[in-house]
Amino acid sequence: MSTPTQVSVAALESSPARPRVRDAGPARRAGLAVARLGLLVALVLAWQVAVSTHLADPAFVSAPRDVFEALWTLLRSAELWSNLRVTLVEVLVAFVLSTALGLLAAIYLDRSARVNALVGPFLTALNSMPRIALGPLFILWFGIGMTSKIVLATSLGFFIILVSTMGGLRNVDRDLLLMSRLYGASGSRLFWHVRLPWALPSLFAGLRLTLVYCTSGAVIGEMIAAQAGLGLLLQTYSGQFAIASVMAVLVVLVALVSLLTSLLGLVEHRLLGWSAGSTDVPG
Amino acid sequence: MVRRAVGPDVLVSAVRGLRTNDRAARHPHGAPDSNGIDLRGITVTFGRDRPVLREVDLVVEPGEFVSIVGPSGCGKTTLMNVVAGLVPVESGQALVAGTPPAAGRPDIAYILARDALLPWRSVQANVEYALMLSGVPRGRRAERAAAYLERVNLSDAASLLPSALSQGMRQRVALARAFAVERSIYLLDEPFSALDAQTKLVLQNQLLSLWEADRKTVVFVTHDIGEAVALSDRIIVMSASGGAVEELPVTLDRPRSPEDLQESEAYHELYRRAWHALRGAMS
Repeated sequence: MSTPTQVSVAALESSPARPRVRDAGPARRAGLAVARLGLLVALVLAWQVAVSTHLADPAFVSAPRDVFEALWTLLRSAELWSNLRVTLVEVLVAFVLSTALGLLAAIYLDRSARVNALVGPFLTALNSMPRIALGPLFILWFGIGMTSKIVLATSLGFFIILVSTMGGLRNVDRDLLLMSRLYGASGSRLFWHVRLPWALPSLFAGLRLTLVYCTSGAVIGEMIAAQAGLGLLLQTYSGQFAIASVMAVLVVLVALVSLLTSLLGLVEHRLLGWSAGSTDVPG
Repeated sequence: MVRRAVGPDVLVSAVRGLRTNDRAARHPHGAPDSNGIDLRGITVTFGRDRPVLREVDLVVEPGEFVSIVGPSGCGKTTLMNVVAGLVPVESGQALVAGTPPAAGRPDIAYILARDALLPWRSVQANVEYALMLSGVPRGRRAERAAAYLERVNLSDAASLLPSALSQGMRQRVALARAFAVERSIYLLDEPFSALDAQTKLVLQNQLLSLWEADRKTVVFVTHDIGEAVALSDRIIVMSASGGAVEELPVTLDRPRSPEDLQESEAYHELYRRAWHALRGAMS
C-alpha cells in the first residue's frame, strides 16, 4: 500500500495507549454512591434526633417521619400529578426557549461587535433586575396562566445561556481557526466545525444552571399567583402551616430537577466525551 | 500509493541541476515555474520604525527543500506569513506559483508550530477534516486519511483523541494531515521545536519520507541548525536585523537518514559552516 518509509527508530517514541475517556472505574463509583447515601442517612438521622430530643421544634422544621408520611400521601393524590404536569411543561418550554434565544443571541452578538457594544449595557441592566420583583408585573402583562411563568423562567435562563455561550465562543483557540482557514475553511464551516464545538462545554455548563433557574423561576411565578403548579401547592401548604407537606413538595421538586439534570448529563457525556479530564491539573 | 515514478537518485540530480542553473537566465521575467516561490525586495514594518523584514529576496525552485534559520525575532515567521498570504507586503514583489500570495490558497499547506488538532475529533477524523476543507469528496476521505496515517506509523492510533497522544504523535498527525491534502507548496514553521531530540529525529525521518515520495516545494523555518542541514537542499541564514545574509547549499546525498547523518563527517562540516554563518548573523 504505502511507500517504504524509514521509521526504524519509531520504537524510540513510546505510544501510550491510554483510554479515550478517563473513567473513575466501577468500584470507585459504587463506593461514592454508598458514601453519598451514608451522608444523606446521617443528615436525616440528625434531623430526627434533633426533633426527638426537643432541640428543634417540629412545628417549624417538621420531622423526617412526618415528611415521609406527607410525601406518601402526596404521591398517591391526583393533586400532585396535575400540578407537577403544569410545572414540568412550564420548565421545559422555558428551558427550550432560553436555550434557543440565548444561543441565537450569543452567536449574533459574538459576530457583531458593534451591536454587542450597543446593547451590552442594556442586557446587563435587564439581567440585574430581581425577578421576584418582576413577577407581579409579568402576571399583570401575561395573565395568571402558564405564559407568565414561562416568561419569568425564560427571563432567567436566557441570560445564563447568553453569557455562557458567548464566553465559550470568545476564547476559541486561535490556532484552530488559523489552521482551518489555511486549509480553506469558509465562515460557516469555521462556525460549525470549530467555534460551536469549542463553545459546547461552556454551553453545557450554562444548560445545567438554566435548568435550575428555570425551575426556580416557574415555581416563584406560581407562588405569586397561579391556577396550578407545584408553586401553588407550596403556597397553599405554607398558608396552612403544613410544614411536612411543604417539605414533601420540595422533595418532589428536587427529584424533578435531579432527573432533568441527569438526562442532560447523558447528552453531555455523549457529546463532550473528548473534554473529560482535559483540564485535569495535578495538585 | 506508490507515486515514486522516478527513482530518488534521478530526482536528486535533477534538483541539483536546477539549483546550479543561473536563475536569472531561466526566469528572465523573475517568475519561476509553477510551484516555485519568488520574493523580491520584500519589506514589512508592521508600522514600526525598525522593519521586521528589510529588502528580503527569497527564491525557491519547484521541488526544492529550503530551510530558513536565524536568531529569534529575525522575521523568519513573518517571511513565511508573507508567502502564506497572512501578512500584506508593504513593498517589494511576491509571487507564489506565479500569483500573489493569498491566505487559504488551495495549493499551499502551512504547518504551524503548534499541531492545532481539533480536540473533539479522533486522529483519523482530524485528517479527514482537512480533506473535507480541501474539497476531497466524502467517499474518498477515509481511505486517503488512513493511507497517510499509515505513512507516519499512526494506523493504530487512528481512533484515539488527540488528548491521548504524546506531543510527537500529535505533530505526526499534523504532518499526515498536511501531506494528505496533497498541496504543491509546503510551509513549515518550526514544527518540531517542542520535541525532545530523539523524537525530533523520528519526525525528521518521516517528514523526509513524506516529502521524498513526490517532492513538493518546501520552506522550513527552524532555529535548529542540525535539522536544517539534515533536511534541506539549501539553507538561508537571516540576520537579526531582518535580512538574508547568507545562503548555504547542502550537498548531502538523498535519500537521507537524519540518524545516520549524525555520524557523517560531511554533515558536521556543513553544520560548522551554518553555525559560523548564524553566528555572523547574530552579531
